[in-house]
Amino acid sequence: MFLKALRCEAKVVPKAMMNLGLLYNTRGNFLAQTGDLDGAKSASVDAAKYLDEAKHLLDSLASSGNLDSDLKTYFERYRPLRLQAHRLAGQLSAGTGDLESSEAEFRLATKNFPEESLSWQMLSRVLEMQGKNEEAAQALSRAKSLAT
Amino acid sequence: MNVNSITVIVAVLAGCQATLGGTAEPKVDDPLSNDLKLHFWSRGAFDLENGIAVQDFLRLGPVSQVRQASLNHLMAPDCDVNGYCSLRGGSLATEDARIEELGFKLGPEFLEAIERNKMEHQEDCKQSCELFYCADQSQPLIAFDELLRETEIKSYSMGSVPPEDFADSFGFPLDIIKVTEKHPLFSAEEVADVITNALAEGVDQNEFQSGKYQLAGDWLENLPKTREWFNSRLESTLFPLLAHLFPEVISSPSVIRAHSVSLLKYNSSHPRTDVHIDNGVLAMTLAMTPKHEYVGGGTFFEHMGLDNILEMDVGHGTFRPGSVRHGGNRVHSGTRFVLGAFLLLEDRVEHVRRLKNRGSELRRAQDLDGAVKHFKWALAMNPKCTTCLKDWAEILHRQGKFTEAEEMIVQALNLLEYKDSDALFSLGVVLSELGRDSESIEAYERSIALNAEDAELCYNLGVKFGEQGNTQNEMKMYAKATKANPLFGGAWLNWGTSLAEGGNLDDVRFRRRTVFDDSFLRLDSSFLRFMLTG
Repeated sequence: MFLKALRCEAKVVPKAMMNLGLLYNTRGNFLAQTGDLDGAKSASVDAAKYLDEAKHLLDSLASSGNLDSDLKTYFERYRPLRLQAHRLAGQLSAGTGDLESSEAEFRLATKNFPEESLSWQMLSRVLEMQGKNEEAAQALSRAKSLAT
Repeated sequence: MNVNSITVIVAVLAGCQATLGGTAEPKVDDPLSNDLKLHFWSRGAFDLENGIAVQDFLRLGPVSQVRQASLNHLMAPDCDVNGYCSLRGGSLATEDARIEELGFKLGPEFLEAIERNKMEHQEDCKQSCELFYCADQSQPLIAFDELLRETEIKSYSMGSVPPEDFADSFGFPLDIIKVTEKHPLFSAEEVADVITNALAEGVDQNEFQSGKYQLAGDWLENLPKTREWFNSRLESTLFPLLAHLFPEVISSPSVIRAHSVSLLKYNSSHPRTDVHIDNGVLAMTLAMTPKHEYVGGGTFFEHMGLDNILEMDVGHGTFRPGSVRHGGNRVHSGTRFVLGAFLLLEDRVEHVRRLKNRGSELRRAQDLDGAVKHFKWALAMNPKCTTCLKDWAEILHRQGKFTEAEEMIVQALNLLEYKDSDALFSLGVVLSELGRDSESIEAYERSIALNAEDAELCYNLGVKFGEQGNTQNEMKMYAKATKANPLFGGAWLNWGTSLAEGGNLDDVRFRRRTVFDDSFLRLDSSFLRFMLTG
């Protein structure tokens, strides 16, 4: 249904993409919990793809002054949803032992959302797991300062 | 998956638990929906319709003789030397006196608007004669029998509300939808030649928007050969016939003016029109394709109901007041051509329609006060102008005056005996705004009973069902909406949302709800449509 909505009027497209992002993120989370890490990872990649495309479209609409109250709601939902997608992707990489990819994902999260405590918190955690204690401490410190 | 993997995931999950995001429900009162609203107010370039035919309808029998008798009883025919007999009920003198009286009440601005109507009317009539046949007053009248020969005329009621203009002229019963039957007005061969010429002139290379639907076709001003045929038939057949069919308002064929004449092409990709009214006191439709060449089609008259689609075979015609709500019924396969025309009367200015249309234009230009003023004036001239009431109600809705809007829509619906899907739709929207959800749903359901193929209506009803947690009915409505309009993104989106919320993530492996505190974001119902106006 969401895929069909992508072929419809322009203002619906970012909304459908956001819901697809949520859908794939939900699916990825479920698959991870059932042990299907490959499936979860694939879903996680799709989630990130749709969310990023949605953000791009939302930004375009915002810059052209076409961000109505409905779209604003979607705009507001982007941040928490994208953070979840980062978290899931990083977790899955870590889960498969690919801590480098996990670190890269969480670094991307801090780049996308530098003011978000959770981004630094996640990065700190994966750095700590790799024994990068000094960097982990710095990231944690940043997370704490943002949380207060 | 190995144990270490699970351990790492759990560790990361444990380290990163955080509460994310709110779940605010979207609420729409936005420029997009306003645009959509305005879009609905704007008639498509082609508001003409499919052909009509007569078939064996039992619900409305031919009663034209009764009406004629009644008119004769009321007014002695006044026949001139050419044989034209006036049976008009509302005289021009009466109308002038009425306008003068209203001028005292409503002031000079009203009278200025009336003068503007007259000027615009004159200009429209002049332009008509530049493109289309205009009869000479000295042309002798063709006798009705000679004109029709073996063709018969069947009359249908136009519903409970008389035409917006010259309402006093049309007596009850309002059996003034006239449809030819038995022998056609034009032979199939003659019409086939017309279509061949029109195709050579590129009639099917053009596309227009009619409300929500795309139509193929073109104006006759762009199709010179087709226009030539049409003009010859205006002279020999159509104008004389119209004068016979509507003696209440047509004093002679010489006063009839055709405008907005188009040849429309329906097929499965351009299947139908919205339900609408036509921009002229009278309108006509000619069927230009044999019935066996397409499936579906015909004309849907809203007050007659979904089960009474009027079909019309090639060469037949329908002649009716422009204010009858109707739409081209869906063509499922094959191709169907229909020629449609709106008609003006040179000696009678349609003040109500023109005031109302100007009000609609002012509303589109965001001059709401000016718009309301014009609707008031139109209603002063004809208190039964239901489109005026509906248009005014739309403004009240936009101003947040929902109770007043409701009152106005109900007033219109009472006049229309609740047989107006757009007004019921609007009532549903307004009641929803007032928080009266069950009444809103009832209004939407009544609207759907009249026009089940209305995508926005099905969508809005789906949203209401969704709000009530009735997901089964909600999804049924989205299914209907997307069937009516496969490109209705909002319906697809909400349908998907409803499925996802129910745990159906397009895969049997994902039947249960997940742990995330997320709500799929829905579109809100925001479409508002009252009337297609000129």
